[in-house]
Amino acid sequence: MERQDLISIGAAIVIVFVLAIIMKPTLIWGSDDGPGPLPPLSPWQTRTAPTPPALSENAEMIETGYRWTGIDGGVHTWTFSVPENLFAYYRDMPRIPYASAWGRYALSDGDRPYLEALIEAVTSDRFNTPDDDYYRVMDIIFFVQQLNYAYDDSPASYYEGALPPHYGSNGEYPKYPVETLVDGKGDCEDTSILAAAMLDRMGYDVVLLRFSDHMALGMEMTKFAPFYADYPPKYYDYDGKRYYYVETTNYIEILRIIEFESDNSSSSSNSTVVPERWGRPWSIGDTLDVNITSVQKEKPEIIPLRYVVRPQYHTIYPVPTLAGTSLEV
Amino acid sequence: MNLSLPKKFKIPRKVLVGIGIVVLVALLIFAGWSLYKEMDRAARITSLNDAIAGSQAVLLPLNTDISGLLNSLSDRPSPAACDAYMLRLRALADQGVVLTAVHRSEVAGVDAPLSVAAAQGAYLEALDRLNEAFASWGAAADAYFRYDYDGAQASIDEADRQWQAYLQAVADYRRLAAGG
Repeated sequence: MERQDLISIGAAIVIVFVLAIIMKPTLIWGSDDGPGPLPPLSPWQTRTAPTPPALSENAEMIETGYRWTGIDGGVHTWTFSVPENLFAYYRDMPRIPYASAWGRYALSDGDRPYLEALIEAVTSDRFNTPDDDYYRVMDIIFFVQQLNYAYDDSPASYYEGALPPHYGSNGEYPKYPVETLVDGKGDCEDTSILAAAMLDRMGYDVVLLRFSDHMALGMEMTKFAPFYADYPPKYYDYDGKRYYYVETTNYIEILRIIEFESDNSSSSSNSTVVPERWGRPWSIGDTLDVNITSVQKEKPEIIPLRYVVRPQYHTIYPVPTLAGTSLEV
Repeated sequence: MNLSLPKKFKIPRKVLVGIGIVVLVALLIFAGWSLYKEMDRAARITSLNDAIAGSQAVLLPLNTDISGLLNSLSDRPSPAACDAYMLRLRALADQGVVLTAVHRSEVAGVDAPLSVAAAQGAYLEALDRLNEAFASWGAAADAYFRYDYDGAQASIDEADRQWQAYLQAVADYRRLAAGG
């Protein structure tokens, strides 16, 4: 082997070495900053949401106090206590972009034990009548109606006092039930989702009713007979069932006017409005006093809590073979 | 003018034999050709039947999987159960799209005789509609996983329309296969 050959072989080895050490990583990753972008999800990969944090006795807790009036007129109190990391888990969840899927908010697994405790606290069998089921439902509805109404775009609507990280540019921020309960307030979709979550866990068939500027609850009424209505109840038929309108915000407020004792008690100048909230619940199906035009005039989009597509036609039929294969000479 | 009958024309024996042989050969050729054509026609129909039977053999078992899936959900499924159902629907849709496309090309690849070309066309139309229906199932599942339930419903409605067109095409095929 001559010297010229040795130089050529050496040069080739150097080139291969340079390519292997320097060029290959660049070609594969593009940069040394990290492993590069993840491959796109294939249709076969299911969407995986992070699992809720496990319950721990040592977890930092958030406590929110509640005071409400039951439909029997009794005042009740209860403290909602939830691990801070569970609340943060829900707060950090991206919002569902399409309202038609907002029913999923009501079925989140992580808040199940807290909602069950709340249901236990809100409802009771104190009436001990055949209409207990009805009263328990009304207890839930009246409790939710008494939550303070708060607009999504106000930082005061949130526990942290600031807009959440996934607050959308469209001005909507539907909350998971745990978020509504920690915040202690919400707007129409938040209270509807919370009421839907509670009633669904009680075994009732509920849907969300979405109007152009409002959201309410729809409740199928087959499980209990009493229906003390002195108004034409509003309902919507969907999927072979009849869902009655249930308002979940702002119970019917009645201003308390108290006559101060005075020499001339009939004088209206001595009357004053007491700033406390006092009223009665919206009943199931009652929309007479709902001062929202869309509720009076529109047919809402009905959003089921559970949704899958079910093809109406799905059978493949056998076909006969063609004649004419026998030899005809 | 001397009019007389022509003399008796006598064809040579060799010519007669030659003509006879030619006619016989022509008849043999005709018979052979006819036989060949009929065998070829039968073979092409057999090929078409085989292609159709092959598609049926792989498509009909899907019925079991589909009805099993549709009956798998409880009355109040969890979101996870709904997701699993939709993922399975997506898999069935992909399976249906691939199988109908493969067997469509096999059925279309058969050079069918004119007498069954209309039936072949009807069956191809059925496979096309079935393919579109399965594709719409897949689109519905994709929309579902984007949380676009309205889009999912629109896609499944389209799938139902395609499936109805498939039923019509199957009816046309059956009528043509029966000689209608």
